[in-house]
Amino acid sequence: MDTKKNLRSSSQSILLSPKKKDNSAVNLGLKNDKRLLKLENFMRKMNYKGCALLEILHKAQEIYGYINKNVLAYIAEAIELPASHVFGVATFYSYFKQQQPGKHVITACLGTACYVKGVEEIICAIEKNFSVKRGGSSDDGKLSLFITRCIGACAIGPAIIIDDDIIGNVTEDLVLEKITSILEREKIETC
Amino acid sequence: MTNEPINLTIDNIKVTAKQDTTILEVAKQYGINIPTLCELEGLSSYSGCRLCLVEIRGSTKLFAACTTPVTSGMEITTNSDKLKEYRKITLSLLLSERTHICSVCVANGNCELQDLSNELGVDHVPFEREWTNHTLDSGHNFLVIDRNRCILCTRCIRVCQETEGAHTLDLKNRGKDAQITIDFDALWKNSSSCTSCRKCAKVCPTGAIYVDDDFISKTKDKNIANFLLKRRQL
Amino acid sequence: MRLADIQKIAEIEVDFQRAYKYRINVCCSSGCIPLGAINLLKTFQDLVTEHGVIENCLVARTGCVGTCSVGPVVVVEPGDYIYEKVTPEKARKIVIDHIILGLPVKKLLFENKTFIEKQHRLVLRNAGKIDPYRIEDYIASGGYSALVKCLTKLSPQEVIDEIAASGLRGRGGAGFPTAKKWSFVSRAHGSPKYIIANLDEGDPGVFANRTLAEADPHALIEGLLIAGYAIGAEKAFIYTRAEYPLAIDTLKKAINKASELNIIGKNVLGTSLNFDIEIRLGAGAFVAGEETAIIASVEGRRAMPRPRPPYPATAGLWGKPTVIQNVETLANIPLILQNGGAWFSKIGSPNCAGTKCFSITGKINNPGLIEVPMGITLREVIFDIGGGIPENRSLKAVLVGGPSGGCLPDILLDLPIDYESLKTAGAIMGSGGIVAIDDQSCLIDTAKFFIDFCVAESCGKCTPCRVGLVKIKEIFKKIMQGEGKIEDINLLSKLSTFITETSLCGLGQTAPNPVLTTLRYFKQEYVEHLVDRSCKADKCFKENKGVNIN
Repeated sequence: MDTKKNLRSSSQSILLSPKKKDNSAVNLGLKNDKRLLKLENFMRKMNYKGCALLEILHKAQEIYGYINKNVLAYIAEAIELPASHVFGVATFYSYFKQQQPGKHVITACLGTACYVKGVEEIICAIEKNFSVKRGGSSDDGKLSLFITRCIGACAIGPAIIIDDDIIGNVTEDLVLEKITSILEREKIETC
Repeated sequence: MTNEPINLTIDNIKVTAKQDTTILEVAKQYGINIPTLCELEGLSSYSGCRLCLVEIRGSTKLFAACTTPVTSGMEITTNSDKLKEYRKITLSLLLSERTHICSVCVANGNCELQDLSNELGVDHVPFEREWTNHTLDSGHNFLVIDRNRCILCTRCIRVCQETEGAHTLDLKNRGKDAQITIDFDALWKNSSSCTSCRKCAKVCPTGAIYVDDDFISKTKDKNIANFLLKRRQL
Repeated sequence: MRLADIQKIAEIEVDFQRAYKYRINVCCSSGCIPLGAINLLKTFQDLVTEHGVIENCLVARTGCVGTCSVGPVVVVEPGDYIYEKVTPEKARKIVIDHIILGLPVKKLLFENKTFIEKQHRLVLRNAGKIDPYRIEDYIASGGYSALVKCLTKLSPQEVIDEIAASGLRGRGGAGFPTAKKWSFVSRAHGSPKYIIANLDEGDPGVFANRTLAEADPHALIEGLLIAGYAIGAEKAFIYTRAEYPLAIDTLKKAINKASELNIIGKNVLGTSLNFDIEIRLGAGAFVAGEETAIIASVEGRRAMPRPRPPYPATAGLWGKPTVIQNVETLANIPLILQNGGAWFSKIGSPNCAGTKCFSITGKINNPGLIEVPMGITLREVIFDIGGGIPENRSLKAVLVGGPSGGCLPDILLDLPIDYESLKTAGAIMGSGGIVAIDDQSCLIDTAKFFIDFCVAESCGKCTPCRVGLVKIKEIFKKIMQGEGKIEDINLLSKLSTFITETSLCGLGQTAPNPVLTTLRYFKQEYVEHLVDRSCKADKCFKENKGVNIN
């Protein structure tokens, strides 16, 4: 690769020292990372094409659970896109998470049907009872609360996803009870 | 066929134009003033500020002069009462979106937002103001970005990509949270892709990006993109 | 595989299915799965084995039947007996009584005749009837015969003419005539040409497209193939939401199967047509439903709309001529080619042929997915098909067209549903969401909910949408906190009209619709909030009661 281009290439901001491309993984502290290998293989499958950026970001999130700046830098370097562009795309789409989610994830559907059926009150109750804010995690990192716009389960609204399980026709008490029992189980297991 | 000139009227003035020119370009040739903010000669069109909207007879819609090509027989109005009113609302919205206080702004007296507000008679802002408080990034040797004064016209982004070719700047987030980002949200002094060419400061219509310790009138140079584009074509 | 093989597959499959006396269809769509449909499917399979009727009765996994409120749903054929809320115990009873003894279990049946009778299922013809994972099932029900007809008997222009005769209009919301769009692209210079199937159903409260993809993926693929043949495109992208894992999985399997049989790929069925389909995932951006934004997103950029012209028909994906078509429109294509444009044009209302899928949700007795002829009234949809409002409450408003649709009052219930009359009333067809609202809801709160949605989904490119909507939201917040002034009504109305007229793309242009329609039809409610500081639904003025109104 052209060295000049490499020096000016995207992802070397604060995260990378401007050395050879091969070194980037080392600098990112990602060496010997099996997950990185998976990502690399996927990017190779996509021919390192810039137009596959969204697909690659999806893959990265699937592998890591979220996409932090180090991973973004690695992707930008690999597919030779400007850092600002990659960062811009990753932050535009709300599906991509920049922070590591908590151990258990509650996703409340805030689609119209669920809203009309009172999901807002349930969300407020979760926030209050487990001291977690929508879009964030609790201080101990055990619980995250996310909002999504319609999961398409409108006919059984209000719907809430607890760790990948869609629960339909929920009530405030039911949700609070479920979450409490999950957290209780967690406690017992760690003891 | 394709090279025949097009006849149309702008504000009842008969004008002739070449094929594939925009309403704004034709208006400029004939000295008809249509206010713009995001548009800049020499850069691609963005059509984001919506100040240059005009009316075309026979349609109830409004058209952005910066991107709508002229067609034969068009009857364009650039200055109806409705358009004047809408431009005032647009400017008021921009003024209320972040923290615009002219008296403490480096661009005071050299600001396109300020000039347009004066010109179009925006004497107060009827909306709740946001008074954002983003941190100033002044760590770079001489370039400063104050996002509180940014109107998201993206001129800096386009000049960085299209003219300089560095693509240091881009937008991050979306909607009301959209911001100018430098690389991976880096501080300017840490950017490795920035060439410190100052073009972003030259084209910024407000005081959002400027050169420290420089007279603002000396920094601003709206024609830089067009000048370089023409030089390159020589 | 060659053209004639489609017919052979159909014959073999029909013979195979005829050997069974009964067929149990277990709905395994996103609506029924959370209610235990997958386990139920296994239960039925075990039960027919256990009772030794496996040679007599076929148990199949299918897509959505439409009666999502009473899931899990099971349909027994012949006779289309719909069983509601089926549990493993009920499953045993169904197998013993219905399959073995031949006596349908009356008390477990879904008894709502009008729900079925008032519908006209064209696009959803196979939903709940075929196994979406088995291409043979689709072929046996007449699938891919329209493609064969096109490839053997019709020229691309004749295909477009047939679509023109049908009067089909885009189901994505704006209602642009499909044949017109196709002929633009077919005449446009530049190659390759592309097709994008829009399955980015971002509207909260709408799940029609997802259901279609889950229930009948091959109809979508066949529609794409015919479109590709007609306009001369060799590559299509299906742009879908990442939040739809089951739809993605179903589509992927269908595409793989179709490639295996050489229905897509190089030299389709031995002809000179080449066609390739790729799935692209969106990532949570409502604005990506806009046609220039979807292009940006497929190209891997920020989904920000750009001004038109140039239109995608001349300069779309990577600057090439591109057709962007809603999946519901595409699913109509095979039917039109099979039965002729004239047949299709007779369905629905005069200036709006065909049917439309709607998700009916909210405060309604039978929420679910329905398909009705164009021109049907809202009253028929809400009361006859939807079964009215629960708990004997009264209907207050109907939201038509998603977050940028309109709030219509009960006096407009006899409004026929088509593009023009909805537009006159201030709503839009959108992607087909109908949400019933009863008197427990406050319309100020509801309008603010939609504005919140649009504020969060605005791309931030143009001033009116990015800043204007935030101002509207602030005014609503003030009203709901009891700090509103009567002048706010005028300000809201002025700002809404301004945003509608000056925004760059469809999102901004329609975002103020809920505000404008509530102002138009429910002004009294605003006055109550502003003058009397009273909210009949008891949703507002709760700042100190711990309810978050941010």
